[in-house]
Amino acid sequence: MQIQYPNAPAVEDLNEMAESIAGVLATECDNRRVHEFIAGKNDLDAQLQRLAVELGWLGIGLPEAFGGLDLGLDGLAVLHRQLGRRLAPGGLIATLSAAQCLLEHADERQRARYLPDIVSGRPQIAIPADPERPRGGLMLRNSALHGRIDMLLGPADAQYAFVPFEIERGEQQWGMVEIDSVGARLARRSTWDATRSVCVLDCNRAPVDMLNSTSPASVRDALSQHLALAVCWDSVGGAEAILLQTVHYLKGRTQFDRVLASFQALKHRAANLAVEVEVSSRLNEQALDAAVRRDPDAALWTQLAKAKSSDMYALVTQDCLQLHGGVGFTWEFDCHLFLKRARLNQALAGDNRANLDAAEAALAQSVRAGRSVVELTQ
Amino acid sequence: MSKLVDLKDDPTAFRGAVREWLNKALPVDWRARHREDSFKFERWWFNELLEVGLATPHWPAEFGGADLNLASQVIVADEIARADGPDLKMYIVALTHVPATLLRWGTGEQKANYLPSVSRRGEVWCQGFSEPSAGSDLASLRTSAFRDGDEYVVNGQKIWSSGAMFARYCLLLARTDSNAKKHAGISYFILDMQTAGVEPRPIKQATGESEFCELFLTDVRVPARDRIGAEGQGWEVAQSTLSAERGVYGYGITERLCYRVQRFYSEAVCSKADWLEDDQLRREFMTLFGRMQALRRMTRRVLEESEHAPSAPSMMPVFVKLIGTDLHQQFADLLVRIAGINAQELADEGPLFDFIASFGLTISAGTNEIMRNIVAERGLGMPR
Repeated sequence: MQIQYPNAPAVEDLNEMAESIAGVLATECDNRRVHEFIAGKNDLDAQLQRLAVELGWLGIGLPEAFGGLDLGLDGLAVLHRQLGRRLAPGGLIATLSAAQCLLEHADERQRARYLPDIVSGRPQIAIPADPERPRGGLMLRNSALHGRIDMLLGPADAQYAFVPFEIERGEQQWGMVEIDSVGARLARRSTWDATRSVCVLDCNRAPVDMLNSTSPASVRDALSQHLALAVCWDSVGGAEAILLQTVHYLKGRTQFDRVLASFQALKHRAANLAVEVEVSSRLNEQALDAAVRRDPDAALWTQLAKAKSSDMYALVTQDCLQLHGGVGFTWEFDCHLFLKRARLNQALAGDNRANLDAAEAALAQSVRAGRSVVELTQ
Repeated sequence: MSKLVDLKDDPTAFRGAVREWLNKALPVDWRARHREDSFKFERWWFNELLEVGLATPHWPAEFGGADLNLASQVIVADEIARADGPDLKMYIVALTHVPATLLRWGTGEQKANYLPSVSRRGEVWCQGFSEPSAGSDLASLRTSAFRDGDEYVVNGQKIWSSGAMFARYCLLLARTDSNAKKHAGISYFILDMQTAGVEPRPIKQATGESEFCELFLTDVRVPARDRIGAEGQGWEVAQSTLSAERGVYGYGITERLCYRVQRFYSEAVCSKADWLEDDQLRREFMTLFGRMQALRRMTRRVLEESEHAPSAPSMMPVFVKLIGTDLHQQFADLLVRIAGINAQELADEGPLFDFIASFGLTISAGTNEIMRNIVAERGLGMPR
């Protein structure tokens, strides 16, 4: 079914929503709690999942028929940007991306089965960190799955994994695998970004609820697109936050009888970072608008925006750590947390060089079709 | 011929008419004519625009404009960019800085005398702001103006005055009070370039062209009625002038770049150019392509802001200047590398010419270093 996303809610409504999410996260997900979470002293990921249920965040992109808020992709962008600012731990990014993909590509029964439950907080869903090129593979034999996929994004206690597998004749399909700890097991890997969980999925005669899509490639592309858009806004949110934190630090620290923020060399570096954040935000908007309109060039813009925003995030976090000096290198300060998130984001939803290549291939195709991809409504 | 601007209330018809007119009016060989004598060509093109009301369409009707709203101005800029039409470099000051200054600060007499010099007579204006020792630190300027009865006597030296060798008038900043604090002692004048003691000398640029002049002023007499604003108010008036360096002009430049980049890429695809097979060049191109679209969204935001909240402080025009001028340079740099040894052939167009010329963008209208200071200080709140 071709899902029509609602037009962008009014800017004021989105701003209000951003403010309210920011307000909640400022208390529920402040950096002290994030540090405690990493130290294993709280279950912030589970708390945020409960909060997301309570405040309807899990239904932001889903129609009201499934218990959603129907705020479309614009609403999701706002959420991911705010979550990114706070380095919110947990699997929201994976579950939300899977939910949009199910909305667009699952049949009626499957949507009724999964979507309202997702809004209610269960299941959480793990997805391949790179839907285009999953690590490993699953085979469908006698109606059950066998094999392993490594590097799934999502909590180890997710109830489902949404994954691709080979069916007979070498074709691919996507489906929901219930993590029953018998046929399907999910185990957390230890990875550098401790705020996000990366897992490995082992299947041995695991039952699967198959999507039966006539175009499995479009399922994959949809999942990639939603994950990429989430990464885009997470990256911009995180970069904004660490840049402001860094500028604040520079304004507060005095050396050589001057505040560091008054040194032009440092001002210019901060300005350059602000420029890159700005470029990324605008390119993200381009990708978002194209995705909402279901524009034929939506994938092109999403790939460019994902490459730009995650590379930008890596650049910003790298420089922000350096600008902090010695304390930036410590475990107590936030710099390394943002930096690790940024490096993970670069690797999610496809390698950035591959994204640029795919975008170029799409651009070449549009040129051959005599179509311009850059049209903007005034 | 009925004027195009009569259609201004019907955007579709207006756009169609502008496009049709450009089709007919713009000579196919305009680039060759421009290369031969850029000033002669610009003057000719300006008069063509003047005839159909498109030279100063955004000006108030009482001063020779057509009261075109922003949307229609954008249509004009859009269509000229689409047609790859000429950019009126010599008229930038006349078209943007003069109205931004006079409409806000000019006396009734000044507006009535000087605005039609552009909108009816097509005169070129130049700017006498920078000095050899007052560049980025403009307020330290030393050109002096002493009051002598109904006149001021001006002495000093200006530099980087675009088009001064062709200009009829100059927007001039000079110090009228050397004892006041540096921003407070400056006054703003209209200088008739035909006055005795005014001597423009062209500066040869790195491209080999001469668009700028040095301006030597020796005992130049300027009537007191040609002072804009009060004595000592020049710095404040100058802020209006400088704020004109944004909006539709930046929009037009960016759209022009966009069409050029698209044409370049289309030709590469159609001719199966080698560089498309080079991973690094191809990926660099796509990165810049994304950046260009982000910039285009920013130029639209500047226009929206200038229409809906013209006095609200905004970093967006600063971002557009910084990102836009750097992007011109980055594309030119990439095209030089794509062209390889072929870029070395001496020519007054082509990638290496564009690359060298791009420094005119990154340095003028506030160097990009000054722009970074503004982003850091006003945008991020870092101390001066």
